[in-house]
Amino acid sequence: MILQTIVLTLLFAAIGLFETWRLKRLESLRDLVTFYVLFALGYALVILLIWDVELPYLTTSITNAIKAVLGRQ
Amino acid sequence: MESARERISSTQLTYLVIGFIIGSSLILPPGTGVRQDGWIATLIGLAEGLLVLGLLTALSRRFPGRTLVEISREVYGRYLGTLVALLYVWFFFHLGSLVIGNFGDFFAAAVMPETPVAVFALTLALLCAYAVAHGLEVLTRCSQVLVPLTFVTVFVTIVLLYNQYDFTNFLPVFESPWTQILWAGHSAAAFPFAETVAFFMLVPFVNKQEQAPRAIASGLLLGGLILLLGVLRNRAVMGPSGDMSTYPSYHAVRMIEVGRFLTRVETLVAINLLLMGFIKISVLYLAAVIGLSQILGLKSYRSIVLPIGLLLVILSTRNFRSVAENIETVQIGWPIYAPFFQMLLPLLTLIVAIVRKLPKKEASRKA
Repeated sequence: MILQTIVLTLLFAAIGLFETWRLKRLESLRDLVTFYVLFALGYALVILLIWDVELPYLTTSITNAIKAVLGRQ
Repeated sequence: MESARERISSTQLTYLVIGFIIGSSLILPPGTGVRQDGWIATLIGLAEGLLVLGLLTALSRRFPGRTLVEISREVYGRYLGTLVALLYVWFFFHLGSLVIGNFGDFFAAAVMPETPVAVFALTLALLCAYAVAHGLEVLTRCSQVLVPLTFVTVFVTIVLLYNQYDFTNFLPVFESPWTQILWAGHSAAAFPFAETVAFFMLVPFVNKQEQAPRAIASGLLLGGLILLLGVLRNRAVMGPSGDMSTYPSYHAVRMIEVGRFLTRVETLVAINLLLMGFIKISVLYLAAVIGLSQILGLKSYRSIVLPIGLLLVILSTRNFRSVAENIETVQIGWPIYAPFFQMLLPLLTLIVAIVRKLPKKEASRKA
């Protein structure tokens, strides 16, 4: 897992740098900041998954909530 | 925004809608759960889809040249409007991740069982990201090539299965209770016929916007026809055994055997289905990034294409534990969850717009 984390971190850093270079041509700081926030969120989720952190199954949870409201098992 | 320079014709929009409607529904066809009455449920779903389209058209005609995000902000004001707009973006994003997951599960179960689902999800999302980054025009040109191919493929499979049809499989008609048939029809509307709501993020990019609703309706009808033919073919070929199949279309096509030389064509068909999935995912992906970039006031939606694609892949792997949960969602959860975004929000927006007499004449002149 440590090796996977290191490889993925390097990969994400490379993609991030490439995108920074590409987006700088837009001359929009807001675009760049939004990219970083969303990209960092994606990176954090990938690392959580790699480390086997139990994230909820989203759509199943929604369906279970609907079933509970409908009173179905 | 950069995409404001992009323009597509209403005919191109029709191709895009056909590809979108066929999308993952050729794999998970509408009208499941009511056995031989599936075709009736498909027709009911198509009719409901047309009604929803009428509602969205009324809303769009009131605010010409604006996306759902822009309409929401104008109708509800800055804060509540942003919240409503975020709900639309969430729906497109969530649906996109579900379709990616559908194809990942399908390929992992039926075509390449040794390969992890995440590999399919990642490669498909990368392809869609490439198309979305190049814009709507590129995507529509892709659909102009790919949709006719799918038409041909579906018709060829129908013809090649000629020696396996048993039309008694449709009897007795209306065997399922009406309530079940209506629910299956509503499920078919929620997935996929009413999902055309995503196109109301793209209407401002159509050359002649007044023709856009008609173009979407044409695409909906033609796509619906293809799906109906698929449902009829599956039932006629497989009969009751098709009810137990997770992917009835795929299994029906596997039965093609002409002489002893034309067999095992299902992989070609699976690739064809994947191409339609590519169109559907790309449209939803594009709708989500355009919507989010409008909410955040970005200069270009292209800056968020890559991170949104990454999040799509992650969510696609965290939607369901199994395909059984996916099917349960399609039959129970989705017909209640999706209409909130497809029907309720647009209806509420239209009512509020009428009550508030929006758009104001001054505002529309400025626009």
